[in-house]
Amino acid sequence: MPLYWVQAEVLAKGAELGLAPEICSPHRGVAGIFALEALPHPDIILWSNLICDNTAKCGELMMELSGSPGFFLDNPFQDSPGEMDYLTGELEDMVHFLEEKSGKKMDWDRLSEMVALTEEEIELHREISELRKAVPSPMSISGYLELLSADYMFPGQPEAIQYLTQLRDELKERVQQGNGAVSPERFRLMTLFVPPMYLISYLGRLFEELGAVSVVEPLFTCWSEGKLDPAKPLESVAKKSFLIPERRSMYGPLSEQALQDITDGAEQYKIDGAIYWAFMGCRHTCATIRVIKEILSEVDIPMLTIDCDIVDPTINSEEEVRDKLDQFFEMLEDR
Amino acid sequence: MKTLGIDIGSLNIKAVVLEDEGISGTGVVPLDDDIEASARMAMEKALDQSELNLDGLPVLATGVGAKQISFTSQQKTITTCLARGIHHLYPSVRMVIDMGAESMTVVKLNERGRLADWANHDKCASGTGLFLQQMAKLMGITLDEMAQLSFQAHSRADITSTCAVFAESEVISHVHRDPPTPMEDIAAGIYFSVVSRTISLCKRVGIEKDIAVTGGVALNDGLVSILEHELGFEVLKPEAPQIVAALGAAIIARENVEKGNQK
Repeated sequence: MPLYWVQAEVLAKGAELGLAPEICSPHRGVAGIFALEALPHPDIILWSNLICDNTAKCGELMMELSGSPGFFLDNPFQDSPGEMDYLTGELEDMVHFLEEKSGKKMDWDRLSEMVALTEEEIELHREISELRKAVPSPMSISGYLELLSADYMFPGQPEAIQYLTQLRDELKERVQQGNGAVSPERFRLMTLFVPPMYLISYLGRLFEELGAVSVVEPLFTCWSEGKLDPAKPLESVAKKSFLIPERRSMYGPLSEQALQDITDGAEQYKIDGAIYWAFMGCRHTCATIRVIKEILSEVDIPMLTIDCDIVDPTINSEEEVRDKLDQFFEMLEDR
Repeated sequence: MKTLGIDIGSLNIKAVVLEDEGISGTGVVPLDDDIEASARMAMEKALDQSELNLDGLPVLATGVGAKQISFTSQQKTITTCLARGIHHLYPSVRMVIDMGAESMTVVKLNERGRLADWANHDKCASGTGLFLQQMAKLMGITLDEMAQLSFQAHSRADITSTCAVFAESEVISHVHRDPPTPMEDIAAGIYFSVVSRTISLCKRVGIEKDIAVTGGVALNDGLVSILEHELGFEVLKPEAPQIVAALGAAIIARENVEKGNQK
């Protein structure tokens, strides 16, 4: 069955549960998947308000639909010693909950190993970001989503390390040979939020045709500074919550540091323009559009905003996106 | 040097012949099913006025379907062309409000007349020329009559500014209520709903004077008057506001020749 139909069926099922198209489509999709029983029945549901507050409610719905017991992990907004202690306490409670429900004891040595791998994984992400500063930049727009998948699908797993190591090595080789993702490289872009996933192949072809490359995504691929300590595994899991890039705009207030990271990124990655993929279902990130546009304008970087939905293919057409990108690139060329 | 600019709109196709002395010919023809044939008609009209023919004339097209025109391989987007066209007419302009048949676009220019930013409504027909045409039809009057009526309004009917379909229901309800809302107030209400939508679009890129209005809807004095009232200052309106993008296209065609990169 074509992916489009699967998406449509899943989203329609979510809508039947009262989740309107204006509501975050990934959450609508998760509800639809559970309602369709498209996933194996879960014994336990674990969820958290990281990476966004919508997720808090999404987990409750999953519990209701599956009838499974669940544990909600409450992530605090700020990175302070008190809030780190609070989050570590939450994780301890979660471990007790899992031990009780599963009848098994926590394997702390295994967790330490995973923390060590996560530290290695984050370091690889940082190296990859550094390599992407090269002119021409070596990674295509589709590489952006693949990069995200590494931590989303395999956090602290050998698969993530294997993938990221190979990617790092390939990018290093491309940089050494002076090979860019597109040739010639005409427009270096900052990507804010995530492009529609169903358009990613199209965008890959289009960017190649137009000579555009996304070189930095400060809200999704730039990990914050900080180290994890395998000797303190639970604290390290808490610490990772404060290092993930998505925390900058999707969770809690938009801090001065996050804004500084964006303007620093604009300079360090030598960008010509920024594209904000304004995911209409994500109200709290869309609220940041104006302020991000203004701070980029202060460093003379224009920003294009494209209203979109990252999952629902009925919102944007390829032609509409092409038209907006054509206008934006003409503007960059004309400056 | 002589160049030709073509703007493929959703209702009309506009053509402008530009010579060193300025515009020497224009053609505006309704778009029918065959874009190519309509574009040729507009082009021939403009060329006839200029007493020129197409041989060797650099041509650049803009607008929806510009890539379908066989007699040119040069295209630019409407925003770039609007910026060039208006800067040629009024160098002081920093913002253009282009109100077309099916679109509304706000274009911001820098001091060199280059495109600096833009915003457009692309999810709803509310506020476009076709929307106004439909509203006039519902009221049983022409667009000209609607403009004249709006000048006589004592109040204005509340009309939604977010959805063309809901606005239509509201106008029907105003027309048929007992007693009916005065036609003058309905006309003013419709214009106000369009203007409030326009101004919110302008604010997205930051209002900056001078402002010019272009596109076929700019010919509607009633709407422009309410726009000026709500902005609090006068806007500039070219003599032929619907040909500005085509003029911009002709200017870019000339620049391309000067740069030596005409295809």
